[in-house]
Amino acid sequence: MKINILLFGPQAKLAQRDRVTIELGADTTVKQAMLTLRDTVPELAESLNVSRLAVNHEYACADEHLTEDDEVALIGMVSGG
Amino acid sequence: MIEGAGAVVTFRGVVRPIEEGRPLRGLDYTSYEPMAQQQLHRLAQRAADQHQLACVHLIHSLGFVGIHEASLLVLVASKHRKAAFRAIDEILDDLKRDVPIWKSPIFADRTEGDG
Repeated sequence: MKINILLFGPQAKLAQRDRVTIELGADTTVKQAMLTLRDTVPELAESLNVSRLAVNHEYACADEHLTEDDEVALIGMVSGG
Repeated sequence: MIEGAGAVVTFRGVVRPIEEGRPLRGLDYTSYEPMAQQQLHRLAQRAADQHQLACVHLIHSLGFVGIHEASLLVLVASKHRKAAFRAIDEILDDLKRDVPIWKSPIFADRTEGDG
């Protein structure tokens, strides 16, 4: 299945885009998605160590399973406040 | 007047004039808005519950905010001052850790590499 991952702020700048599409197996976890993202966009690799995936506007656990209908976003390097 | 409040404390987060050692014109704030709103509401509610606050108001700017202007306003009211000050501190820590808002500096001495 294909998952679109939304990118924001400095990570969108690093990747030079505001979303990236990755190809995953049918029964993929958040942890696997992060590993695939690291391989797909090497420019993001270092920042992924301080990032989390949000699924449908909630921070997701590493073992949470993804579906094609999920809205997935990479949340890292936040700087509000 | 806020019912039951003996202390009303406000915090204004203001854009400093220097960032990364360079003079700023301001900061440009972007967010993952639906999640940011949800997270802000949640952390305000958590603070209100934990510190028995009479009220919490939390406003964060988006878009360009010039130097010396406020990007963040937090107001809390509680029966006594200690709870209000602790709540503001926790709200700020939670906001900085969890809320998907990003700032991008707009430098006064903008160069080609600034993007």
